[in-house]
Amino acid sequence: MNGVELRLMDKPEFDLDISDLIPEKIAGKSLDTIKRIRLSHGNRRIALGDLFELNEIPDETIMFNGATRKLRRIGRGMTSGTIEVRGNAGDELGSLMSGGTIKVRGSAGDYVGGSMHGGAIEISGSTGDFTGGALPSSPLGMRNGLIRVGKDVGGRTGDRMRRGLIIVNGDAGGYCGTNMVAGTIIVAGRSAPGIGLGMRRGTIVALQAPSELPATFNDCGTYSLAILAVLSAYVRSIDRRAFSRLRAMSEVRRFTGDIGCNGQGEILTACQT
Amino acid sequence: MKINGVAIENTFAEAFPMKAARIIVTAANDTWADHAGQAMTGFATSVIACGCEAGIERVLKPSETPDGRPGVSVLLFTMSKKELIKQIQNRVGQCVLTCPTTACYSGLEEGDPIALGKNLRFFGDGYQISKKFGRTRYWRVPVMDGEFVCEEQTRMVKAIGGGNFLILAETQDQALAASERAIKAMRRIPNVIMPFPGGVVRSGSKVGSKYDTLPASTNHRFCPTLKGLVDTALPDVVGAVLEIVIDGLDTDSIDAATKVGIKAACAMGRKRGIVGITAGNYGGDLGPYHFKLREILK
Repeated sequence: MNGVELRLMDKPEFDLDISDLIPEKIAGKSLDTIKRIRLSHGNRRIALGDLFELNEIPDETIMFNGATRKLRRIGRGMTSGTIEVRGNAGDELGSLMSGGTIKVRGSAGDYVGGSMHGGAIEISGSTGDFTGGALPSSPLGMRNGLIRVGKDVGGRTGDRMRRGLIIVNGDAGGYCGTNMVAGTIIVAGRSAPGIGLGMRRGTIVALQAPSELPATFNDCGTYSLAILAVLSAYVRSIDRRAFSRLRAMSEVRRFTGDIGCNGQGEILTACQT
Repeated sequence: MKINGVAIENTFAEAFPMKAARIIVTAANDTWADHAGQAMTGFATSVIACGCEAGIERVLKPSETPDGRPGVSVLLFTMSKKELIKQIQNRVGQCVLTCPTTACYSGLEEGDPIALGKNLRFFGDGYQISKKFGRTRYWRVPVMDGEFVCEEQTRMVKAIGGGNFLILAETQDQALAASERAIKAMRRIPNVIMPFPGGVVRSGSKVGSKYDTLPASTNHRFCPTLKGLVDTALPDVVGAVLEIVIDGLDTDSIDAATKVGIKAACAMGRKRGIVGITAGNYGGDLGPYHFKLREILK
């Protein structure tokens, strides 16, 4: 078979765990077989066909149409292929994924890309807390890959992040990049207080200077950094909107910290004119 | 075969397999990119004593470099992978890292990965920063003018060294003028370098010597001042010979460089003192690559 479109017939009453519906698990299966996949619906198991209308589509994609926030763990653990979500997605979208692409035309809940190892997640709307952060069961946040968010992210984005890139085209909620170990977060909009607290290493590029930085970050001066041009060239191929704003930042002010934990992380902010 | 009355000898250049890497060096402006490129490719005319053969392949516009700054593309050639790794580390470490405002990147996407900034990062003494964008890792090493950015790896590819041709002229001035014309034309060809000073070598060598300790010595049959003494290879009218050695990433590029170089040299013509074009070889038994002059110029 090719791809499959899943259209919700009724809004689920409880959260629905979709983690069994990833490209590698349904490859080669017929629509009837897929319909018989049993999903966790609240504290019960329910056949997928009881909630979704299934259609075969030419692209090798799993497409959720009319999705709601009740659909949790979409693309969890996927290693390849493409998932498209039209509507909103629930928590843990793309958590633990190591490859492939998830595109959401809408918003998503908490833990988007939680502890992911690779692959790419694109969200046109906003996401909840802990985007790219560590799942409660995991010591580290995202370890590789890319998360692009078209609008705002919630609190503690990139918490305990180890590697990879998060691009936020809107505002970042409180405590962005807390406890970061490495990796890069770009925030095009405003950053709420608490940014970078507990950072060991890693980079937060705040295209709008945060109104408030933790007292445990020290000013290292204003520079034109070659690495920002390299980052800008990379971002150009994946997010034109963020690229145009990043490119305009010829000089940055560099703050390092969190010195409260001997951290060598950095927050690069646009220079105030 | 003649071009503008200049005789093209029916012979071939004999070349050898080498290992090569392309490095992109950028800087705040053209001047400093050139300083870094010149330093990095200094004392790199011949693998016999320099460890590698290296040269600036071409000057890069800001739009052609990874960080949008002016730069130069450098090619390095060695006889072994081990030597290439050593030469890159030493030359980037001593000539690029030290040069104000520079950054250093891989110029090849295919080939075996070898270290570029992987070991140089330790100069940062723990303050170095790793940044991985997509599949490429960069190192940011804090230095006194800011940061030295260096890609972690570059690529090593199979290459060819020792393509060549010789310009036979009536006088030294004429040989030099023809060589300069040839080099100017050849520098427009990508994937090649002419590693000798100004791209030109006057001390063509033969294998061996009367002295046991020397592996190579002057090619006496091409020395005009010995014409009356030895079994010379030169016609009576020849008063100077200059050689252009070409290292390239592939045979097509060396062919192209040889062709434009010879044509540019021959543009002066027999009337302005250019007598002939020939090439250096060892009888064809040593090097697997033979660049036949007349076939290339067809």
